[in-house]
Amino acid sequence: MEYIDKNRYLERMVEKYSDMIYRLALVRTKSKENSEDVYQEVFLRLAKKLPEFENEEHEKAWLIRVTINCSKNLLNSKYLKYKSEMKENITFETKERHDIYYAVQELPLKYRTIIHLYYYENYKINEISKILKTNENTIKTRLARAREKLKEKIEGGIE
Amino acid sequence: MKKKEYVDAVNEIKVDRDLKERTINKITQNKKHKNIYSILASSIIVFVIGISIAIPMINNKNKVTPIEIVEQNNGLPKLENFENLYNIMKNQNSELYETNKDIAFTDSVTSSATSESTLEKSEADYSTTNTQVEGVDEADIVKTDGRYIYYISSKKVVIVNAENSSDLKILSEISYSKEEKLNPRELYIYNNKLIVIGQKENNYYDDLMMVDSIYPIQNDSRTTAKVYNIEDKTNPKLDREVEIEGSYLSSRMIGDNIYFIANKYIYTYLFKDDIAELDEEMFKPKYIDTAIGNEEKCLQYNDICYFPESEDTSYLNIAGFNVNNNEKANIDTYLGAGSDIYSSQNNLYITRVKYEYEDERVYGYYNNYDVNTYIYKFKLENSKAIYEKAGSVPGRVLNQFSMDEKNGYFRIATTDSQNWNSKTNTNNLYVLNENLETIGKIENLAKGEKIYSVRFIGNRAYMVTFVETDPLFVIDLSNPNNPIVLGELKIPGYSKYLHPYDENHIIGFGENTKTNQYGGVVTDGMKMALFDVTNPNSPKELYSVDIGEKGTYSEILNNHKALLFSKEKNIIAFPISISEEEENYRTKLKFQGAIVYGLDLDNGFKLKGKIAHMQITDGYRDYDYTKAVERIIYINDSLFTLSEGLIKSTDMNTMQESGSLEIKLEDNE
Repeated sequence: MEYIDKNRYLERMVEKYSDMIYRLALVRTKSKENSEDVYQEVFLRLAKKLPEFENEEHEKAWLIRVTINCSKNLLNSKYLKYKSEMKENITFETKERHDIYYAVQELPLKYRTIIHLYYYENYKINEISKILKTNENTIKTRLARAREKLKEKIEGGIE
Repeated sequence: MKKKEYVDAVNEIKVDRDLKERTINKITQNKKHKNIYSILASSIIVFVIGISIAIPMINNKNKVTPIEIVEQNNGLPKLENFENLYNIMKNQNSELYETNKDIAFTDSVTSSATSESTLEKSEADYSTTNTQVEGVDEADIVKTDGRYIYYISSKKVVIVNAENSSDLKILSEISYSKEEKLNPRELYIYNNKLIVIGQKENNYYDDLMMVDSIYPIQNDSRTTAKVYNIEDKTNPKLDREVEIEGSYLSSRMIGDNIYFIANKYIYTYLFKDDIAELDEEMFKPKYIDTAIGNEEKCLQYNDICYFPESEDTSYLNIAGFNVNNNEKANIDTYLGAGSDIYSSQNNLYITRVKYEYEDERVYGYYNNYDVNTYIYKFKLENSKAIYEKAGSVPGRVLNQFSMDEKNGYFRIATTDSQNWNSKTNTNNLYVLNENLETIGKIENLAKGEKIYSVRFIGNRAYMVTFVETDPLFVIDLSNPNNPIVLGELKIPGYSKYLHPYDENHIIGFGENTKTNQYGGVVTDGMKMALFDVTNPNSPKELYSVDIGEKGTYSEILNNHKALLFSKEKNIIAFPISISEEEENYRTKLKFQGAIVYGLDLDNGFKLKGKIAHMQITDGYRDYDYTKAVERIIYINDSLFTLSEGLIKSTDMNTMQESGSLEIKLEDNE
């Protein structure tokens, strides 16, 4: 792909994907500070690599994949600055939103990632399987478990 | 169904603007270094030449962009046919990644109305929506005519008899079937007409969303205005409906003429395909006007004009009609979205902020841009918005309050910048004549800061900019050719909304700031201040009150319609969530409800009381959004606080509760 101006392209990518990357990073790392680190790292990698994307879906999936990897690296790193514990420091407009968001946050990492990709990013199971490089059945099982766990925490669970 | 809740919750999380800007600086600077090295490696001579070219280019940057008259004779170019649309879109698509499509959709919903009228309002003994311009009504979630309250509670409209404040009664409810998927957004009241502006969504949350679709599904939201005859309050009758495509941007009502505007984003990705594979009918703007029939109609391509410089892949749809007759609505479509609107009684101004980037000849040196606000002026005449002129000014406009029209002159305040580093910010004010040509200006105010609020009152403009302290500028506009700064006041914190108290005093609603241990400036609770501008050369902060600590929020910071102000009644009231700071920078919610102040010039602000619809003892765990107070209105001596599930009345003098009314809510989904 030819870009008139790489800086302009990068700016546009930041505008376009900022929220997506930050939100996913927050789900994964549970801390604003760590999410900011992940967020910057993802864009640095994009700037360094400037991958050629086949289409928009490819582009989005690449960024999600990198966000997941960066947050994995960070969470495993001894440099992890902030313990990943998020308690009520994001305020939501409604109690329902507050409850569901924190209920998801309380799930184990592998569950909440799938919940986020499935319900928020609207990916299908086979797509999640590709992004996470995990077998489809495993994703299916995890999604079912995650739902069960949510049902225990909040009335009605997530549908 | 909790999926929607989760999606809505996540959608509330936004990346900090600073983080974005820092990241952009970082990733684009990286490239700059690389460029320097590569140039150095190849030839020092080139490097020297590069610099010597680069510097003049930067200096030559046409900073003071003179107003560009986009079209000499009122006419705009027409689309004429689908091929033209296709080519324009394809062109946009090759530039990829539309920057600001969201701005068009969301930004200005919060910033769509205002009021000088509050100064004059005294005869009617009930409150009206806090609007910007006298005689130009703005829609809100609640309206009253002094006897009845009309209120959007969740997904329905309730009509409440408020004649006896201790015996509130629901007379009727207007609700919408699930099939209709209509979310009522705002209301107008005009004599015996109730106008409900709503948005219809093609259910985004349907699980089918991404299934097997190669392209993201087209956004199919519609904006609709429903007119009800409410002569019989117990039985509102639907008289008329006008529906246009797109997300609701804003609306105004002048007399019995209503104008509403929606942005319809066109997904450019589709235009990668060959034109032969596209269905041209699909891209025609669609509308319904029950005055001419219940079926959907299309505008034709030769009815659509475009703003050539807008480079936007959205349709701007404007509908205007008279609510008292059944004449055909005026529906116009322009290619090019709007982001903020200002309306006087005679003219509607729609603005669009556009970033124009310099080309890369400067070796990717500074990723500089020009940011301009394009202004499209429409004459409002008998429910028709007639395009008149376009113009532009340097910088970006903040919201409707940054604009004003007086004696035919259009005044606009902007923040200009050349790149993402806020140090390059400057703040400007322009006076434009009827043809939208700049005839007077002040530029380069408060370098490095940006505008947080503006208010034009008569011949003066008050402008708040901020970086660490808040200068309030007083600008004299009595000579439109030569606006001058009369005075300036520096205080901590900033105002996000300025409201006139009287000729010489302004109330500022904003946030307090403090310096944290790292030397950064962080917000710390709300602040309300009274400014004395009797001597415009030396404005003073007369009084101020701090409300809550970090985490405290009021809708008034983003939406002037949340304010109830009456000088005669000595009432300042707004909804608020008050939080206090706990250890580890956490905050804990302490209160949600209405806060009511009185104000007199001798004694300052006086807390009259707080009205809550819920008890909060354990932070957000106790928060019930159906009981969150959204608005406060008054009729005679009663205050009414409104939340989705409850309306309460309170005696203004004793601040004692006098009545309450529960609104039954259907289970969501």
